[in-house]
Amino acid sequence: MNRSSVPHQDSGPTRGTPVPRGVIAHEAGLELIRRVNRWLIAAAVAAAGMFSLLAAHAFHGHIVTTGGASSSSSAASSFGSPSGVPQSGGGTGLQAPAHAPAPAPVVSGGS
Amino acid sequence: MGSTAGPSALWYLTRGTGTVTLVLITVSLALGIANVRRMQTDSVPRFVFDAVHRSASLLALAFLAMHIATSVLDPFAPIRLIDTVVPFVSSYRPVWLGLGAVASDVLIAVVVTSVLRGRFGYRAWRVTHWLPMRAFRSPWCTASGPVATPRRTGCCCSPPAVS
Repeated sequence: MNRSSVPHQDSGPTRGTPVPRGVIAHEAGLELIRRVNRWLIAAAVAAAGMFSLLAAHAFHGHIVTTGGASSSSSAASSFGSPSGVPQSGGGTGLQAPAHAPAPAPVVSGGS
Repeated sequence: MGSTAGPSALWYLTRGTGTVTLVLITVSLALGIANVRRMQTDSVPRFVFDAVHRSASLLALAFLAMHIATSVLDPFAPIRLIDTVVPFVSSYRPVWLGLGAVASDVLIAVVVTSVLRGRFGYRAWRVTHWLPMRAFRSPWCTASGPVATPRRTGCCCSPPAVS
C-alpha cells in the first residue's frame, strides 16, 4: 500500500494551531515536578551521607564489643578523642609497656 | 576473650537519616502551608507545590524507616522494634524515644489516611492531616533531646511562658 496516497488529516494541535497557554504551563509544571523530585531525592541521600560523616567526626561514637568474657569491656565505652584516635584507657585496649623488657640475666655453669 | 570492633556505622547512619527526616518533614510542612495559602507564581503553578509536598512526605517516610531500622539494628542501644511504635516504654532514653515514636506514629497515620482518603472521607482526612501541626514539636524535641535539655536551652518542649 502506497502510504503517500493516504490523505493526511489533521487532528488535535498541529503546526498551524497554536497550543493553548494553559497546556504549556501545565506541561512546564509537570516537568518542574519531575526535576524537583529528582533533586530532592539526590539531595536527601547526599545530606544523609554528609550528616553521618559529620556525626562521625563531631561526636564520640562507641566501640562494639564482640564476644568476650570480660565483663568490664562493655559496649558503652566511648570511641576515641576528637581527633578520631581511639583511646586505650579504661582497660579495654592494649597498652604499650612503659619500658622495654630487659634481657634475662645469663647464668653460666655452676655446679 | 573479647575483641573490639570499630565504631558502628549504623550509629552514625541513625543520626544522618534522622536529621534528613527532620529536614524533609519541615520542607513538607512548609509546602503544605504554601499550598493551603494558595501560593503560586508565574513559573510555579499551585499544583507543583502540592505534588512536591507529597513527594517530600513520602521521602521523609522512607528516611524515617531507615532511621528506625538503623536504630533497632545498632547493637549499642537496647531499642526494640516495639519501642519505636509504642511511646514511652523503652528502657533507653524513654522520654526522647517516646517523643520520636509519637511523631512517627502521627506521620504514618497521615500518610495512610492520605493514601486511603477516599475511604476515610474528607473530614477524617483533614482532622488527621492537621495533627502534624500539633505534633511537629515532637521530632524537634527528639532531635535536640540528647544534646540539649529543655531546662538549659528553652526547647520547644518546655511549657510556654505565661505573661
